[in-house]
Amino acid sequence: MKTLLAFSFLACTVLQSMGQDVTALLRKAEQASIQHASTMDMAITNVKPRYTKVINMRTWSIGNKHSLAVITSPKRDSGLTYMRAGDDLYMYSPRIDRVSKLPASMLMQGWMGTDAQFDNVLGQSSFVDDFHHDYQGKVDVNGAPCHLIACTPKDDVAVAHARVNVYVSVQHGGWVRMQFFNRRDQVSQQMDALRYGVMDGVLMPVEIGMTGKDGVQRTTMEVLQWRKRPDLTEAYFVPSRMTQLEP
Amino acid sequence: MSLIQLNDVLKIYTSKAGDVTAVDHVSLSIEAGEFTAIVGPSGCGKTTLLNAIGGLDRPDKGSIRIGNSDITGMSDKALIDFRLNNIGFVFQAYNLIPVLTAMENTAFIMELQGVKKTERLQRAMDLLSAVGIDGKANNRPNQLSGGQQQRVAVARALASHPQFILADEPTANLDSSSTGQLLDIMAKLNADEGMTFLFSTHDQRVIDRARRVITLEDGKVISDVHV
Amino acid sequence: MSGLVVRMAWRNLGRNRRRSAITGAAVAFALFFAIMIRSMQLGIYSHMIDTVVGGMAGYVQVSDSAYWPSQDIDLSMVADKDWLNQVNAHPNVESASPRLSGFGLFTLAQHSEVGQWVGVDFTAEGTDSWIQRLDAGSYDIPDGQEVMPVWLGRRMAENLNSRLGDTLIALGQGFRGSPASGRLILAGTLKLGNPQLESRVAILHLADAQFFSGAEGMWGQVLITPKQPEKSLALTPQLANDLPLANALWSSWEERMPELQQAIEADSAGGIVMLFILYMVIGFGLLGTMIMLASERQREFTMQIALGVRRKLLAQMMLLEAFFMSLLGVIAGAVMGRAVTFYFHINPPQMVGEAAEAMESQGWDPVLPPSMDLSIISTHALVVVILTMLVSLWAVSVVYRSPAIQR
Repeated sequence: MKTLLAFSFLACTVLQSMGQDVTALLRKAEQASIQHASTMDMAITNVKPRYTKVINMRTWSIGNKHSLAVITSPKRDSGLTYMRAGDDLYMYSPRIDRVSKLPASMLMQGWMGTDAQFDNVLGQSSFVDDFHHDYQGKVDVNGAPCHLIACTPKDDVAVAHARVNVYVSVQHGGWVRMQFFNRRDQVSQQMDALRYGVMDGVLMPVEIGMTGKDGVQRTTMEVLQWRKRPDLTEAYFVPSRMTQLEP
Repeated sequence: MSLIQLNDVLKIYTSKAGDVTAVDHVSLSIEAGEFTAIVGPSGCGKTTLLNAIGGLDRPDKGSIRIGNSDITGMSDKALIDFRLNNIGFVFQAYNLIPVLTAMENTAFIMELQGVKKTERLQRAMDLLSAVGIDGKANNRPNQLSGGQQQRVAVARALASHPQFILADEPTANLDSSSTGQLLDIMAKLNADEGMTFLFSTHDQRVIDRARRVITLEDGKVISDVHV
Repeated sequence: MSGLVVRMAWRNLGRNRRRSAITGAAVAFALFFAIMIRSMQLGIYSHMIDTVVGGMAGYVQVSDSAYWPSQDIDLSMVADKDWLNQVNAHPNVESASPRLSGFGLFTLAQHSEVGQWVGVDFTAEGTDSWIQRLDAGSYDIPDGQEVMPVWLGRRMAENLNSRLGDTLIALGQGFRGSPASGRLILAGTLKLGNPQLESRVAILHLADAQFFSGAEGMWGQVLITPKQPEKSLALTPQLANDLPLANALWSSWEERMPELQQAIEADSAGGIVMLFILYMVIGFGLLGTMIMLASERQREFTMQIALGVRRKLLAQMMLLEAFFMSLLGVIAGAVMGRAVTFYFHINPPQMVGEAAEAMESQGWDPVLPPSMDLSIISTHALVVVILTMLVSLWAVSVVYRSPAIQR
């Protein structure tokens, strides 16, 4: 009996310690893009059967819960501003000169007709705290070896995804692919880090491809410029800020 | 040539109880202007004989000629038209059309014959006054007594200018004064206008006025008396 | 047919007045019920078709071939005014008008409603029909890029707690990923006969809608009202052939809303079965009367045939008598039916309770406006008269079987 107890205790410890390793791996992969307060210029290209549209924007962000994005082109949309402050989501349209609070459910909605979601544009959700993590071994993604980590939401957490597979590069420790599964266990969205680069001394994915439900990659997000902004604080992210930005 | 000529007329009714010879090889001729009664007990064949003469029923054998026409060979439809234009009928139950006035009942046959309106109204009025009920011209049958109805029926029978009038027990439903009036009218028409009347009857008052009495029994003529 | 026949047939009606009255009443009753059933049914159908099809969806619709069923604004078609002029000039077309629509969030103070905005060319659609739909407010507001007037379904206006002149904020998905956003001035509210539409539709000027959504020069669809809307289904391929437009999908409402068409057909068939049963019952009743009547007249037929009346004439008389009898019933039934449907036309019956809820949940106003189509009356009057005439053939057969003597 004692032996059995001792064995099971040991088993738990081993699993727990392994779990911590996986979480650390995930944390490191995420941290690359969110550990610094920053400002970034980004171009999002959306290719549809009938048109191709390029949206340029500038963002300010701290962590993954505070983010502000203003569209700089095309002309019709320039000045449109989106902001995430904690769990609140806002939009400012210069046409109506008004800040509108958007429902939090919009986070998982497609953003401006692209396959990116609001969540992707305004700070990626973290899988570290709200998910269980299972290490699934190594797999190759585009010829490069990756750790596959299966994330399933903790019981008491309301999240939009039924599960997420995160592929973390063995070579540089950054994420290479994320697959989001819906409740029917179909891939509802996939993000691929197409290219890594160093911006302001930080290694980060600088080109990300978004693949929609139909498995076609139509949206790419490209980081044009990224700078650390240690001066930014959470106080920066207030609705009144949105009306003061110059596109 | 006689007005009506029956040659060896035979009519047999078939029933469950057996065949009944209603008219048994009767040959008769009736001249224009006669006022003749066919008499005999019930079931002697009077009505059958009259129906055969009137073209309402076909004999099984023999022939019936009226004027120049042999009616035994006529189609049903031709017979209807023949009756319309050649024979006046007076029935025991009057049989006026209940929805028509006395005047209209009288004019009815003429309308079927295609007589013009003014002409038929004039003649109907003349006939109604001839039978003595011109005062009731616009009354419907249910507003007339039995005697009055039968007089309208006579007027109707005369309306078509028939070759003769067949009257089947015309007085059976009438009281004696009505019977007397009716017989007076018919006798007068016979005397003044030479209209031929052929009655079936067992009413003694009719027999008394008849100038020829043919007696039938079991379908056979047992006597034929000219008064 | 001589006047004699007509006179006698007519007077025969008076011989047994009670029977004639009861027979006429049976005919009147049958016709009255037929008129009621069909008027209510057809009224409801045309109410459904008018409100949904005529008002909002169009009898015939032309859109980009990919537009249905998503109605994605990105799948709008390029506005082609020359082609539209040709459509309007087509002899079978009453009117054709472009629309542009999409979905959005409408906000006033603390209230928000999700709705469908629809850009409408009022002039092309005929101002009259839009004036009829106006519940409050007016259309007398010029097109302008500064202020966009909006006309909301009255339930939506209520839900937003809005008043005329209020400024609403509208946000939505615009053309090709652009967010649609704008300030809209509430210029009027609309009654659309359909609670679902009334609680979600926001009407804009077409030009405003194009600006609002960033779809300048685009049409979502073109609605065509044919001169004979009831022939939409057959007309659609003909119009498509006469008025070619590249990459366009032509559809009649029956194709786009087969469930509505099928529901109508099924319901209508049910009504016709009911009427058939009613006619059977009335028909046998009439037959009973006719058998009795003919046997009463048997003696009279015989006597008249003896006098020299042709059977054809007697048959005509009986048919005419039956015709008069049914005609009296038809007149009474038609007058009653017309009177009651007219009353309900002025005061449409309002459903209450569960039935009303069921209707509302299906998307219709819980009112039952009867159809005022006179052809309902003429059709069923004809059916009733024919039925009576068929039944009176019994009397005709008795006439032809009558001998010349009593047996």
